[in-house]
Amino acid sequence: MNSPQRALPLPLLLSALALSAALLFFYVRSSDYQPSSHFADVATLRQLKQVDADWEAAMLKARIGSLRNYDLLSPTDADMAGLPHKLETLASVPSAAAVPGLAPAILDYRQAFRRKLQLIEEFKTHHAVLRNSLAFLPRAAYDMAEALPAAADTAIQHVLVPTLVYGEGGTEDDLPDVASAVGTLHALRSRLGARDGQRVDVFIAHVRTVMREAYKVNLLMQGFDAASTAPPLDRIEAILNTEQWQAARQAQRHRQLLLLFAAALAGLLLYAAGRLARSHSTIRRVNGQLRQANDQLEGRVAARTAELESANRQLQAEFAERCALESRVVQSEKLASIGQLAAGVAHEINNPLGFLSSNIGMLEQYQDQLFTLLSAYEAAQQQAPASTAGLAALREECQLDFLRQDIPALLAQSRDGMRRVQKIVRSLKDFSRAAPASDWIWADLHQGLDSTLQIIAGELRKVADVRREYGHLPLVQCLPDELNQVFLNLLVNAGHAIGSQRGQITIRTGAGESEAWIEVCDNGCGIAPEVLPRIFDPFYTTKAIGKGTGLGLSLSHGIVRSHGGRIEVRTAPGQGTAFRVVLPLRQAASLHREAEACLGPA
Amino acid sequence: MRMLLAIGLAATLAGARAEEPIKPVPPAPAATPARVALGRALFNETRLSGNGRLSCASCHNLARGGADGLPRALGANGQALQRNTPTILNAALNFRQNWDGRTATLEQQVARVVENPREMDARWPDVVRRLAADADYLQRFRQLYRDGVTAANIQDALATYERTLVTPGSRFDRYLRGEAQALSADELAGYARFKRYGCIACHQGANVGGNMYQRFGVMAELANSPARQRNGFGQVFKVPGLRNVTRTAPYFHDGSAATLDEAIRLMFEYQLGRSASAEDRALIARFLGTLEAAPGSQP
Repeated sequence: MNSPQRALPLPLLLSALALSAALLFFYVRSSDYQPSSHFADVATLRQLKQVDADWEAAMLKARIGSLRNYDLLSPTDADMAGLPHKLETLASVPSAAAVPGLAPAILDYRQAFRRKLQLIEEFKTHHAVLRNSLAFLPRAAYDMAEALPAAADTAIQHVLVPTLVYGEGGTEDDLPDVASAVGTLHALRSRLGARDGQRVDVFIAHVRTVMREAYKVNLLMQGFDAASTAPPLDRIEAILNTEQWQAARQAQRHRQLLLLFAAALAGLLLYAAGRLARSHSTIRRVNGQLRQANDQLEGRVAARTAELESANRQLQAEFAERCALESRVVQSEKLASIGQLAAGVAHEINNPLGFLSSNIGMLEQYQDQLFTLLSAYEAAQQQAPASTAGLAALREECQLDFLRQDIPALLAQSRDGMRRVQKIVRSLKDFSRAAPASDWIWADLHQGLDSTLQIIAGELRKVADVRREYGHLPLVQCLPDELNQVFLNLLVNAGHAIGSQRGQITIRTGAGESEAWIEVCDNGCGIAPEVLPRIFDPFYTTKAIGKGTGLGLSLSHGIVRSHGGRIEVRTAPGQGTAFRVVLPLRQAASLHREAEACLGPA
Repeated sequence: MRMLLAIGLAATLAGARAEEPIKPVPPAPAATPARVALGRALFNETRLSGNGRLSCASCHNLARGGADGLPRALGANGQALQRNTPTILNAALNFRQNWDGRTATLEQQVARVVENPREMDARWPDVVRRLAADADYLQRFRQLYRDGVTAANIQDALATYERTLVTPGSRFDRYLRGEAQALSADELAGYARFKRYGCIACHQGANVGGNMYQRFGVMAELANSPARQRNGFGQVFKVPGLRNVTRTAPYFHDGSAATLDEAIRLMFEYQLGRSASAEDRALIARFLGTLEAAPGSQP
């Protein structure tokens, strides 16, 4: 939903990974600890001790004569020979060197073991000899006693018994006077023959052998005790026990950590599950919000659509207003045109009025004269012939004959002047009248052209000759007053286009099958190419200020379009311009056209 | 006094009855037959020697009691060796090998005898190469050993075979196991003298010896001057086992005793410090004959 929530799963994942790794590590470490291997090692040590004890027991048994073969003291078996090497592969420690004190202890054990083997070998050798001599000694004494006098028995006994006792394991305290007794026997030997002397020699040799070998055997047995492998084995065991204890402690620590990390991981998982649940609910909530927002959006869209529709309506109203405005502008343009024409019109009207006024003045004068004459005629009638002469004189004075000639002429002339004024006024009226939009009539455009020309003939006549080259033109369904304005505009423009030299304006008309055309040509300055695209723009003008409003062509364009026609322009700068208005003969849907004219780019 | 001596004698004899100092030969340890067969083939394999003429069996001839009948065998270079060939029979029971006990195991003995220039005079790499070149050996070794033909595997196969060369089931062993009629009266008398005269002090255990060292000439002070000049006199040797001793003449470390009787006589003199009558020697020899058995025979 937001960035912190999206960013969180990575640390979460990382810590889960780290915890898992730690778990694995401690699991492996705690499974490293194998109490069974320690007990296997202890068993090995016990076995080694047992071997030692067995040897010692066998030795003692052999020493007292109850064990009579040395197989038990002869480690022939490869296993027995390999015993000291068992310590090289202790299971509970990676290597002896890794544990302080263990390697020296094993070395001590090996030395003790080797020493012990050596002692055993020597023991067997010497003990066998001792046993043999001990076994033979009584027989040798017996053999010797036969050869010696009975007096020697004591000496023999003094040698034999302590020797036997000593040989069987007695102490040297048991040998007080063996030496002197042997000396006595030795002294007796010289009195004997060779064969009997040999018996004494044999006895004494065996006594000496017993003494020597028993001494040796006793020494060996003491040495065997001293060379016990038990102390180094005990040391090894103590070291292994310590190791085991430490390993157990460490394993316990690892297990605790394992538990801790497992708990942490479980917590993490719970947390992750919580987060998951929370994000699930968040997603649900957001989904709800989205749905709601969607609904709201639809409402808003509807509102906006309504707004748009109202805006549209407003726009349409504005357009209608603009159309009205435009028509007002057109109207004001008409007024402007009227204003522009007022001078010409005034001048035109002034002319007939001048002579009307003069004629009327003359007629009033003439009337007074006539009335005077008439009065004379009435008086004469009452005075009869006498006054005929006076009448004739008065008649001469009033120039009745001239009046008879001049009054009809004056009246005719005035009537003509009044007709002209009437005509001008009607033209103005025609021009300024705002025709209703629906006032479509079939009109003769030539008539419109003529009446328009009538209006501005005065102005045009000053700068150019106007030639009419009317072709065949049928009646056209149109708004003639509006078209008159178009013609007026085109003619005014043509007049303005004429420069200082007198020019020529030609009006041509013609018709096709469904179209009529009216062309206004001048040989004036023409229209520059850069200006040409803008000539129909409203308020665009190249004329001097006050001379043009910039609306003429724009209005004309709008009017022609409203008739479903078009204005074509041919121009060459410096040679002149021809505006051709092409109009359909018949309007298809005049109302529609009107609307189009309002909304279009007029 | 005589009384006292008699009691002492009786006590000594009574002690002897407590437990027999000689034990029956144990049966051969269980072994893979194919490995034993390979060991047997190698035992007779002359390619183990440098000159390709000697095999283990050249000296340890099973038909001659596991020895060669010579005072001293002729080595690879044709010269007599230093010592008499000890029998291969029951060698597995010896606590060490060789007369001087210089090798601890049969494997070691094999390892050394092959490379000894006076004995087989070969080099292990050559031996391995020669055997590996033999398709039959190659296949057998590969079947039995993961690493095929190696010196250690050859030694193992040989030692495995040699451990089967024990001779349980002798008449004496049958006697020890309670078969009273297995021995004749003479033989029993010989055994009694063997024990009484002290031979048993050294020649005891399953191999009737072979489990200790002893000085050749313990009772040197009684020995005469020619005896003192004997080869090896006063030196320590491994006490040889007496199993099948009747088949392994001549005797002693140098094969200097041609007959069993002579060997018994000299042992009495040098080791026991006494003399034995001809009858004693004969009876003891009769007893020693009961220790004979064929290898592999079961009780």
